[in-house]
Formats: sequence, structure tokens, C-alpha cells
Amino acid sequence: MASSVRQMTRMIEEETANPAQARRGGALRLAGLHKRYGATHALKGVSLDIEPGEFIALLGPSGCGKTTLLGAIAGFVEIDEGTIALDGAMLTAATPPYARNLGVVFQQYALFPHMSVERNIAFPLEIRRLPRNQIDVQVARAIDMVDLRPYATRFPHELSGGQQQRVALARALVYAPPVLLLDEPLGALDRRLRDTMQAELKNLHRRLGTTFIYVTHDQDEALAMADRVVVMRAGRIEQVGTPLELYERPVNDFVARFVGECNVLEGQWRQGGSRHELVHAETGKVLHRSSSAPAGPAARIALRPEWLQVTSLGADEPNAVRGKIMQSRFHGSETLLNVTSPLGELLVRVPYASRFRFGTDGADIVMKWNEEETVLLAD
Amino acid sequence: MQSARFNSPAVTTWAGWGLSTLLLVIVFIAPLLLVTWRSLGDPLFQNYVAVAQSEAIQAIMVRTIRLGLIVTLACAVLGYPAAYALVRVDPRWRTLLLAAIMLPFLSSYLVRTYGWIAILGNNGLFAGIGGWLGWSTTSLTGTLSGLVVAMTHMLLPLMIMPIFTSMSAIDNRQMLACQSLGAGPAESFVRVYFPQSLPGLLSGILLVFILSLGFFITPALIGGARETTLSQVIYMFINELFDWKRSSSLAVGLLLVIIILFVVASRVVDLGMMFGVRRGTTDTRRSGRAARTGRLTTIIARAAAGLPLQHHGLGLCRVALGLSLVVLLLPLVYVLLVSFQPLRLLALPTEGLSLNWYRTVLGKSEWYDATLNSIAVAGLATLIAFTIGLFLATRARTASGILRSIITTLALGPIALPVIVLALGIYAVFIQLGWTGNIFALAFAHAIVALPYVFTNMANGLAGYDTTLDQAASSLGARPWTSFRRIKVPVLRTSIVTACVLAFLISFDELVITLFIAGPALPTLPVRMWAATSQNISPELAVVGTLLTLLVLVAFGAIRLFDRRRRAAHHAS
Repeated sequence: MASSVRQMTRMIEEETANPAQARRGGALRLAGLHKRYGATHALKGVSLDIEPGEFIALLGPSGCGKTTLLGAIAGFVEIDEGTIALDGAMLTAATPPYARNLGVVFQQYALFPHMSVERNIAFPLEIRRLPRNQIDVQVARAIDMVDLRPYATRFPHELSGGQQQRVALARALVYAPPVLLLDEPLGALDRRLRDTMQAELKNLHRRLGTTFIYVTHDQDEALAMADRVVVMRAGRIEQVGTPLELYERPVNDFVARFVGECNVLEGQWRQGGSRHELVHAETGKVLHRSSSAPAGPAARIALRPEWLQVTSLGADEPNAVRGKIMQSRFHGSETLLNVTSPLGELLVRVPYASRFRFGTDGADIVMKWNEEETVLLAD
Repeated sequence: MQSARFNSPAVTTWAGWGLSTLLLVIVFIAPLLLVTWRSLGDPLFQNYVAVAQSEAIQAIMVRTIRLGLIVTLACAVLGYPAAYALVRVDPRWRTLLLAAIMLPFLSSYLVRTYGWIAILGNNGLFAGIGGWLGWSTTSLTGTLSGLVVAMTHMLLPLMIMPIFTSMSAIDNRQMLACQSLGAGPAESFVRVYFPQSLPGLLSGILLVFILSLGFFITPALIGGARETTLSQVIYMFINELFDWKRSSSLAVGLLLVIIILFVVASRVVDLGMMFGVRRGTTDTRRSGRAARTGRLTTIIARAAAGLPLQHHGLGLCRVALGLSLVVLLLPLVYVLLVSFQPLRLLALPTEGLSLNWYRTVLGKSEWYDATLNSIAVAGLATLIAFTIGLFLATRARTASGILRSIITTLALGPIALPVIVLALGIYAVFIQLGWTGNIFALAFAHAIVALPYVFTNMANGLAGYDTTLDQAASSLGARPWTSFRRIKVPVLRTSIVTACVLAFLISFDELVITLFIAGPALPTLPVRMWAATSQNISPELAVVGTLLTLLVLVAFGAIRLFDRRRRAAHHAS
């Protein structure tokens, strides 16, 4: 892997030395997309603007429509309503997949089994009728880009999953498409390989400037790689934002729970001096404090596990509560605690540095939070 | 991603449907309708009644059914243990053994029947062994036992294959689990293994029985006058008496019986499995009718628990496998040996080998002409059958329930029909169209016989084909035709080659339909051989048969060699 990074650094230097060759990704405008499969309404009015060169992740549970959306952009799925525009040009039913000039990386790679790595990667260039010597040069560059030079003449069934993955990438990028669509490409790989590939993909994106649209159900992956994340549920977009925005300011319960672990607590609004306080009904603890007027009598907040500080004192403070540890799971850099408390069942994340602040299962702890920083959820 | 909306150019679709409909109507649907029409009289079912009331016909019907039952029993008794042994054989040997089992299909039907005539005849193997043992040395041709042996040979592979497939899907470790739980081999078999192999067994039984009802060539040549079957009567009515009414009413009656049997069978087994058509990409088959065990199984299991020899079960099965191989390969070996017989006897060359008959055959131009005719017709038929079979297999995959059933039934129908019925119908239609004696018409007729095999092979190939490859090719810029040519065809190459080779061989070997509709100006090789049978039976036919089998083997060898060279070249580039 180290050699791969070195090679890529070398290539980046080459590319920046000749800026005219630097590629620019395509801009996509999706407006009001609807798709029905019989009784199922797979896309319910999806609209999205994707800027050139962005890395967008489509994130959501199975059946949320993210794969349908990708299929619609690629041209495999015919939409019932709405428009798709690439750099201003409309992509309609009259533009079949082979006329769209997009790159697609499939979940099972879809490498042509009867062609070697080189022939697979050369395929799109041959279709575009490029002269033979130019094809050879570009194929060689693509193979080096994904670090597969020793395997160039091998056949797909002779490669490992990770290597097949890279061939699929090289094949989809060799003709410099403005947009690259990736359908859960890392799903079949083991954890360690997945981490490595995530880093490589991100590097590739930065180097090439191509717009990446990445479908995944794994929120860790989406947060790690994307510039912006689109969270989808049941055919609709729930929220679009940077990973940080989604993490710190989820708009509703679903996004809060789907992106990262989350405790969700309910409270009643009451006046506390000049500001409004959200108070937990049974215990009277202050969950949230805000200056703006509340929307209704009650509301819910999201409290991320790492926002709960474990202390030993102050259980009677309005922003602290005592609890009992039901289960603890050690994850090296942090420990996860399942705690029962008067506020309900809470998940707490304690960093390694604070590992001495709590006892074993069954012990009492005190948890503190900052009521200004909890996130108010719309419904 | 969702299924691709790949619309091939409209021209291809229209041409495909047009050609398919033309073929299916002219040589399948119209013949059946015409035969049915001819069978109706005034009053409507008069012919049926007359035929059914004939005592001679009744006797023949009983004999045909009896023959079918005996043959089915023989195939089941031999085939089930053979399949069991096959599943447990070393994988390296298994391919070879499977090839050996399917080999008879590749060689000519007539040739194998001649082999049996020789083996069963006065100078044949059984007579020889009988004489050596002091038993009677009369010929077994014309007897029920002789016919049963020959027909078992013909149908055994069709019993073994579904059982083998069914057994392959059973997890071996289940038997280990049984034994760890305290059940002996026999009881484990009865309670756990047998119920799961039942779908395959039932498929085989039904297929063999139904096909044996429609057999024509083998009973005609080996059964003789004593063991006449229904098909021969149908042929005789037309060929000698020109009695369309009785002939067609018998044919339709036979057809109806077979259709009813298939309908009944479809309630019990998965018809797709019976014909080897796979659904989806998984190999394990779910027939949808789960094997159930009940009180009967328990009773039998308890009885079986005490059986002697149960630990030698596999050994006994291996014996069955060996016996099956002998039954399957004996006629071919015998024909080869008989071809070297110096005298005009259908016997093994005990007085030394001679190439007399080879010289005779190679000197006669009529054999060359017949061979060339057969090759020409087979080539045309393969082209037609492959194009239409591929088209229908593709459409069947993407079609909805009803359309898919219709396509599959029509594409597989010809295989289930007794060939004599189809031949009769096609003859009737071709007379009306004035197509008798025409090489293209003959190829057309052959194509319908080959179609089910092409369809099955291509359907299976397509079932195992990863459709995301088409999507990938499209996303990379390839138009539908380019994608088809550069991706689909190469990946499906094995299925395509198998389908074409099978179609060619089937057309090459086709006798019954050709007998009806090919005039004297267009004799194919099987017709020549059939004519030669009625004139004389001599090693001349054994020579022709051996040369034919040799030709097929050489062709196969050439294809595999060519294939291997191409693979090596690919790797090198």
C-alpha cells in the first residue's frame, strides 16, 4: 500500500505540472424524480443539486431508494416524472446508458470473465474507437493508477475481491467520465481491506476531480469519505449536509439514529428566566436550553453518547443524572456503556483516557451533559 | 441495480417473433391440428370408437403399456443406485463417467439399435453365452426381454440424470448427522436420503415411461411382429394401408394419453427439472413440493434397519453403476468389433479381423451422397433451430407468467411428443404445401425436433448469466449489438456450442420424419441405413455406424483442441 501512495504522489506531481490535463467533474441537477414499481413508490419526488467534483454519499437503509436513484442517473431505471441534467444537458429516456458517458462501479464488479484485466479496461476505449497506441497508453496509466501492474494479463477469476474492485474502478475511470457512480462497491470486502480502499478512493477522488456519487448503507463509510451526505428513507431525502452537519445537527429522529449512535430524550418546554428550557417530565432535568421560541409544548433532543461526560459528583445538578451500568464493551480507544437511569436507557461513550472514571457492570456512575449543545429534533 | 431496460432494435424483435411463429406453426401446431382434423369423422368420434373397439388394437395398447412399465422399472432399478454411486465418486472420475453416460446420445440411434440387433441375435453375445452355459441359443430379437434390454439402454441416461441432479443437492453431512444420532445406514437412507431424492426419481420415472410409450425405431427393429407397439401400428396404417382415419385417430389418442400423463406429472414433480431446465442462478433445486415422511416411512425404516448387507450399500451401488455403463456402452463397442467381421454375419470376428466391409462401404457412392445430404440438412437445421431457440430462451426469461409458460411449452413440446405423431402431422401439412422432397423444408422439420434441446441449453446458460455484465457494457458505452457480440456471446460460448452440436447431431440422426417427407431424391444417411436394414443385415451397417461414431468423436476432439488453443492464446496476449 505504501508503494501505491508513493506512486500516486508521483502522479499527482506529474498532473499538477501539466494543469491543462486536470479534469473537472460534472454537475448534476436532479429535480422532482418519481419512480413507481407497481404498487411500490420507490422515489417520491427526489431533488438534489450536485456540484462539480463533489463526493456525494447516498445513505440509507435497504429499500430507501438510493440504488434506484443511482440507476436512474445511470440510465438503467426509467423514471416516471422529473428531470436529470448533467452539465446542463438533459438525460432523458432517449439517452440510453451507453450514450451517457458516465462511469459505473457495480456491487459485484461485473468484470467481463472472458477478458483479461487489460482487455477489460481497454473495452470502453475500444468502443470509443480510439487508436490502438493511445488505448495502450491510457490502459497502462489506469492500471498503474490502481496499482495492478503485475496482474495486467490475469483474468478476473484469478484475482482477489479487492483486486477485482480496483479493476472495476480503473475500467470505469479510464475514459475520464465527468461523474462516477459507485453502488456499494466495498460491501463484499473484509473490514481491513475496506478501510484501505476507502482511503484509496478518497485519494483518487481528490486527484482526479471527478464527481463521485457513492451509494452505501454504512454510515461510517459515508461520514468518512463524503463531502456531503444525502440521507434517504422510503423514497425521500431526509437531510443533505456535510458529515459534521449531519452528526451535530440532525433534523429528525431518523437521521439522528441512523447517522451515528444516539440517545433520544423527550421533554416539556417551560420558561426559565429569559430563555426556554426543555425539561424531562419525571426527573425535572434540563435537557436543552434555547433562546428561540418553541414550536409546541413538547420536543425531543438528540444526545450523542460521547456528549455524556462521566463524573463522580454532581448527580443532583439539573444537567446531570445518576445511573447503573448494565453492560460495558471495551473497544480499545473507547468503552461503550449501556446504562439504566431515571431518564431511560442511555448509551455512553467513554474515551480511553477516562477509563478509570467508572467501575464494572452493576456499578453506579454519574453522567453530565451540556444542555446548550444537545440537538433539538424536528419530527 | 434494477433490471436493465434493454430494448433490442425493433427489427430483431419482429424478425425473431416472425420466424419463431412460422416454425412453430408450420411444423408443430399445424401438423397437430391437421392430424386431429383428419381423425374426426362423421359422426365426430367415429374413428376413435372404431379403433378402440378393435381387439387387435386393444391388445397392442396393453402390450405397449406393459412394455413401458417394465422398461421404466428396469431403468429405475438400475439407474437409482447407479446415480447414487455416481454422486459419491471421485470428482476427477465423475466428469469422465458423466461423459460416458451421455456418450450414447451422441452416437446414432440407429447404430446403437443395430448393435443390439447384433448382440441379441442368433450369433450374438447372449446366444454365445447361452450356448457356453448350455442354455438355448435362440435369438432374443423379437422377444420382450430383448426389447426391454435395448430400450433400457436408450432411456437409462434420462433416468440417471434427474436422479443424479436431485441427489447432488443433498448435503452429504446429513447422513453423518443421522449416524451420529444412532441410525444405521439403511434407516438413515429410508428416513432422510430417499425422501429428498424422490423428486428426481419421480421425474426420471415419468419421463422414461412417457417417452417409452412413443418409441418407434427400436420396437420396430427389435420387437418384430410379436412385440408390436402403438407407434408401429400408426406407421403401418399410413405406410401400407394409406388409412388416414385410423392412423390419425390412434395418433391423437396416443397424444392425449401423453398430455394427460404430463399434466398429472406436473402436479407431482417440477417439469422444469424433468427436462433439465434450471430456474435462477442457484444450483440447488426447490421443487416447491417438500419431501414429506410419515407413518409409511417409519414402518419401512424400522424394517430396513435390520437388513443385511446394508453397510455394503455403496458397493452394491457401484456394481449397478458398472452394469449401467456396460448396458450403455456395449452396443457401441459391439458395433465397432462387428465391423471387422470378415463374413456376412452379425457376429464378433472370431476368425480374425478383416477390412472387407470397410472396402465395400467406402466403395459405394450412395453412402457418400447420403452423408453429404445429411450434413447439408443438419447444417441448415442447426442454423434455424439455434436462432429461434436462442430468441425464445431470451424472451422466456423476461416474460411474465402466462407468456413464459406458453413459450416454454411450445419450445419443449416436440420433445414430449411421440415422434411418429409429429411425423404424421408434418407429412400431412407438407403434402398440402407441396414441400415433400425439398431440402429446406426438411431442414425446417428437423429444426423443430432440435429446438427443445437448443432451448434447454440456452435457457440454462442464460439462467447462469450475470445480467449486470450487460449493464456494465452499456455503462461503458457499448450499444446493444456490440454488447451482445463482445460480451454475451463469448461468455455463453459453452452453452452455444453445446446447443449447436446437439442440434446438429439430432438433425443428422433424425429418421422417422425424414422417412415420411423426404423423397427418394433426398436420402439422408439414417434413411439409407433404414433401407439397408430391410434389404439385408450385414456388417456393412456396422461399418457405417462405426465410421459415423468415429466422425462424431473426431469432430468433438477437434472442437476441444481448438478451444484449448484459443484459451492458451488468450492467456498469452
